[in-house]
Amino acid sequence: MTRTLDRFLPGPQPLSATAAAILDGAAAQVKPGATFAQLSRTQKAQVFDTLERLPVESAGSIRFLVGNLQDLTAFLAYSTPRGHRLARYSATLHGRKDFRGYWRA
Amino acid sequence: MRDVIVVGAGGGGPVVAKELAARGLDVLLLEAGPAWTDPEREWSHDENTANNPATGIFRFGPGDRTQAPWARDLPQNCFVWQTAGVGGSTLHYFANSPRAMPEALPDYADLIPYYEWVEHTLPVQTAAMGTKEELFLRAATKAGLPTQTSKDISRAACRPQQNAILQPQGTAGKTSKAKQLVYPRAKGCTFCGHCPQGCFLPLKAPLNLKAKRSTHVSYVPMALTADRWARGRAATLVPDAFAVKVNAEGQTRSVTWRNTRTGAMSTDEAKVVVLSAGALETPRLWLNSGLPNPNDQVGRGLTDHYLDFVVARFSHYTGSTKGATSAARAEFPGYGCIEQAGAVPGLQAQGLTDSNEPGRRVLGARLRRFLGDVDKLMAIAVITDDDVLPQNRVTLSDVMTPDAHGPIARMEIRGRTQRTLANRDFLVARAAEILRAAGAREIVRMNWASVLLHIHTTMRMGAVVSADCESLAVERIFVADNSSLPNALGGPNPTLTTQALATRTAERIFVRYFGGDPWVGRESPVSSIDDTVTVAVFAAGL
Repeated sequence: MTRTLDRFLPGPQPLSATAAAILDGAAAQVKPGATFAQLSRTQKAQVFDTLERLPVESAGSIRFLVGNLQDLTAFLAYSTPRGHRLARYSATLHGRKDFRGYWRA
Repeated sequence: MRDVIVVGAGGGGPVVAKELAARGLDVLLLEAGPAWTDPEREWSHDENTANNPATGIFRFGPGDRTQAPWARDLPQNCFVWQTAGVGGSTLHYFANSPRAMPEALPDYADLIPYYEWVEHTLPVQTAAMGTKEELFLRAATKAGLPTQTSKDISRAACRPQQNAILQPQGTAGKTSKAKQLVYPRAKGCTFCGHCPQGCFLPLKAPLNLKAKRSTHVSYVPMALTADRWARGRAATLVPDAFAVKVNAEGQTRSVTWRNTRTGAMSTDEAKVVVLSAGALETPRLWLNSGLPNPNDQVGRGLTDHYLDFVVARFSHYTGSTKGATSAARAEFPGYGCIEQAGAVPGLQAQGLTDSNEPGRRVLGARLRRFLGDVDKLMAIAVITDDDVLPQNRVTLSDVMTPDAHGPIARMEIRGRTQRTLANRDFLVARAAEILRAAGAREIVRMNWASVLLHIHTTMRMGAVVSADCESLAVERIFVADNSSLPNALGGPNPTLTTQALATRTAERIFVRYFGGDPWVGRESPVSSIDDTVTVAVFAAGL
């Protein structure tokens, strides 16, 4: 995920660091003094809930970044061999035996 | 001076290039992304390798993948899925090729011969059925939907997709053993389930006989060999060429582009320029070129079918990951469409965790439960007939730093009409009915944030271009991509309609500026899988 973010928008400050700063900043509002990583699962959900409810007019880019963090993480996690095992996905193959013919009403 | 310069080798540009090259015109086809020389080696079924938006093969970025993708200013929760490279977004598309809702296009009847021309050329065929399609269509029938048997949508009904995927022959769809899946033992779709990761199958098939009919394997090879299969003139393809400026002075048009690998700038002149860079980059190029925008409509009115996703978990096998990603659909005139959408685990997980509402995301233990067996899922994509709103638009960003190609595109989605929202809710309810009729154990509606797979109407017919897709402000500049569509077509996937319009645009260019005669309805089209094309592809070393 860090590699994906940093390649997505290179700059003087890596995008992953920006994302971490945003999450930590919101975490401190949920539990003063805490970083995002130190929060419970419920509190982490609260962080996302807070950030995703920011007004688009003033925080549209944050909404874009935060809105994509979870689904990109899920995409990456389930694209790995471990993700495939969790999903009972057999393998990437060049073909499958599933052709059943043509539809007739 | 060239006859025609086409900017963009995605879904629309190669259609114009092929048609005009076949008429003997000197056509230059520019593509910002890379050319592919050996997809069997260059592409991958691995989802992250293929589809990662930052590092993947099919991203919106330069061919040199050590470089960052090209930036967009996206000030809202959304996901834009586009590909740069020869073939453009047809490289990752599902190849669904329905016609528009007839009532959505005022000149629908006039367009039918052009639909037929494209359907023969690609070709478009009735989708082969696998387990998930059979389950979907049986359930849709049980839910009361009749089967649509014509290509023209006439009523609320279900049907197998009309798609640009060659039907399976030989061992295709009947085995997973790699050695038995080599052309010519296997022809057409092998049911691998990897449409979004490109399609380089069957292995060893000639380029123009690969199963999924991206323009990379259909229209582009025909354009490049028009001197061989037709009495035409081979088009010239220049990849890694990012157009940065279009000039219009007198009767001469010119395009300046930047080589994305070397940074070198080039300019070429032509009698006609066709913009086919996609619904975000075409208005960006127009605005960056300082071309006239007298009614301030360039970039305005973006539609995207406001997609949604309804996913169900079953206790039995659904074959969700096998076969064409989407091979069955239902249409509801006045509302839009729904289509069954199978996917391999990464994209399925992404679809289950995206939402406008934080509480709807399927996360943690629930995600593990849903994805505990990916082949016991059925997902339905909701494709809404959404309305044009002027505030949904593309402009030039004044927030983000310009890149090497000038100010970047800012894409804003600021509202939806009540009709759009009601259509979406209606379609979600129909999807849920079908899933229940199929025996679903658990159903979730994601209420996706804007997922932009179908991006249209930013250079709208009637507002920016004429019915012939020529600019209303500057003659000899045409648009041949989804941006020229007048509306969201009533919901159907846009590529076929854009390709039919691009065919008509090519014909109008030939008649108006090159003194030729029309050909659609007078001649027979040559299919991209015809033996003459295969011979031409071999002879040209493609």
